[in-house]
Amino acid sequence: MGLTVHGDICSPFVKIAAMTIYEKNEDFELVFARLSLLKTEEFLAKNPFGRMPVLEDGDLVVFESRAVARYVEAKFEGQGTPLMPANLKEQALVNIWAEVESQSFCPPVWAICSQFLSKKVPDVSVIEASREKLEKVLDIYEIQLSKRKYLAGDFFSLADLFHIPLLHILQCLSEDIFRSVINSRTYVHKWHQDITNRPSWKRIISVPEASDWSFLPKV
Amino acid sequence: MAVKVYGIPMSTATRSVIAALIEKGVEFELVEVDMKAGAHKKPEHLKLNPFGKVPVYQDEDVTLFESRAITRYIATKYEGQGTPLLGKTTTERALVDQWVEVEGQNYHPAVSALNYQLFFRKIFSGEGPDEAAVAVNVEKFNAVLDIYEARLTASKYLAGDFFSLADLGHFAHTEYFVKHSGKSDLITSRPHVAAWWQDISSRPSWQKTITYGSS
Repeated sequence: MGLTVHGDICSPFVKIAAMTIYEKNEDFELVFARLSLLKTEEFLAKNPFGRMPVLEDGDLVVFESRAVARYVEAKFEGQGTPLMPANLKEQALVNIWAEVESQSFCPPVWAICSQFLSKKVPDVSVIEASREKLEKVLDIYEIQLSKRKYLAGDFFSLADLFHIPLLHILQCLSEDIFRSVINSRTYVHKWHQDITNRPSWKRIISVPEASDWSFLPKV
Repeated sequence: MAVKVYGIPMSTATRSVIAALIEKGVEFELVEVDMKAGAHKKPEHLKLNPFGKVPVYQDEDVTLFESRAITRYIATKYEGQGTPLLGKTTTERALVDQWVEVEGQNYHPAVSALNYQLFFRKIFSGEGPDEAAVAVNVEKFNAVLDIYEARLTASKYLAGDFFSLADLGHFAHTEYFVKHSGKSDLITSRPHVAAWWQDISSRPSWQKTITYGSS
């Protein structure tokens, strides 16, 4: 009995779970759940926040994609890619940049993407305000990545992985904004090219559903 | 070299780190950063935290920022002493990580926005609350607290029947919310959330943390 992931592969957060599992050379059963299903009693019993992904491993149910990723890494420690170093200092660096992703990178990126996903006419002032925040954060990433290959050091880790699906959806929804914030920064651009070249990521986006948000209702 | 925490006593993120150090019985020195004078944006501090924020944690091995990364480091480095904060098994650890994420993604955005509007804003800029922002965040916070009420009906603490890093992360903003927002009824009207808050805020570590600094 293996891992089950409830969700829709078009979700960047489901992709975090999927990519982590693939990096550990493991597989999972995707139990498809689209937005309408997330508010059913059955689903809310698994994740009361009504969001995807939810991971099931035997009796254990875990939600919040970053917690799912941490669990998968811990469970399959010693196989596949080491995504969390054993060394305490390096672990701390991974956790710093995972927090930066969670608190400073994700909110403005998601705010921009939300404008394109659910509104007929994106609110330019919201996009611009978020973009300004994002640029300031990425200026710091640029300096960081000029000194080392990945965010926490010269090793790929969960901190880098957490960024990949959000960068992907931003690029798909607005190539212009993506180019101007990512491609314009030499080291950020190089880092992006490297981390999206990983076989685990290519496998995820090889299916058209991974990049299809057309089913979302337009408000 | 002793542990140093660069921050200010009233900062919620600084308080999280202080609470974790006390839970683990680790001695430390609080080095106050003169944020009123903009010290956190000057080169000396930016060397420690390029994002220009507090707290920064420093010991003989590391210089760290982001309070949740710091408290996780403290919980791991000092695993063998003080209160266990990460659970005993991979399963327990997963639930700790899950509720740490819930705090960061769901609880924190709503409660910090409310604390800003209803308390900090007046202190920092003399301005009263943006009522629209208050209304939006009250709605969000109520929805989150309904989920917490259900969870804490089933379980004494967030990750299970043990106090953990997940609960600790809620100390700082909840303290301000309950004491200063004027909307503490959101907490006190929910019996299991109220009992949980009463329990965790009575912990010596939290009682000690809020004594730091003059106000």
